[in-house]
Amino acid sequence: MSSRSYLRSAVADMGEQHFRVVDRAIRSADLVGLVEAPGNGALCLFEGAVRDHSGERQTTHLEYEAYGAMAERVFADIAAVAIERFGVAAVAIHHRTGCLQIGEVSVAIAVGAEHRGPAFDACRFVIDQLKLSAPIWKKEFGPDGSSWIEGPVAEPVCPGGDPDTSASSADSET
Amino acid sequence: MTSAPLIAVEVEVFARLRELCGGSASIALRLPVGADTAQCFAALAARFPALEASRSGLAVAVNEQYAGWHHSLREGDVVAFIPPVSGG
Repeated sequence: MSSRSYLRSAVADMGEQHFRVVDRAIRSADLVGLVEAPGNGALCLFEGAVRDHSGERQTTHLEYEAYGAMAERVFADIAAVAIERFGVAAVAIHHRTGCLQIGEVSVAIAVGAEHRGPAFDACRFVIDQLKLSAPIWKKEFGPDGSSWIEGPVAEPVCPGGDPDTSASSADSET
Repeated sequence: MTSAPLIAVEVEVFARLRELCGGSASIALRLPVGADTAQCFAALAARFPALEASRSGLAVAVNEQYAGWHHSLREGDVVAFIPPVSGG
């Protein structure tokens, strides 16, 4: 039995639209609408967009691939931890797949909270955790060819996740 | 003569791993009853030998949940081998 079931209850009331992998342009207004509430004095929106360079390499476009069904579960797990850890009211996470041009939004995260401190903190936590745990990959295309970007070894979302944990620690084990 | 009982599992591969499997994202395998995720990978690498060099750094999921390399598999399980991630 999943030890994560208690986390899921925190997000059970959220609709299916909160955690999505989509193959069309992300609509940030949709995420904003999902986390707005009369009790929330703060709303934090993060958008990750395609850069025209990666280190020294020029990028012409990216392709994103995802294990969509699992990624959406991971988004829900991350949101549940964020809600419990920071006390925010609502989280929405959308990630796009397919071919993305420079400047297009690959990921959007919206957090609604009573106050701005937790909203900022939770939003940062969510993108940091997504980069550690979401089964999503990007392929960079440039003038000299293309390559899959390999970041950290994927790990499950930890309930007591330390947002400061370095993703590059070779000895870390979950 | 009896043959060992087998279970049918579906293997999902992605990104560079998918390309090493000829582009196919989903591969059906039949494994001995009691096989674990490590044995599943070995069976996949037997079919696509280029995978063996990629084993380190992979994470494993069974039925959309992260799992270990010694997770016992059952009929109908969906196993995913997850290369180092780069979402966001």
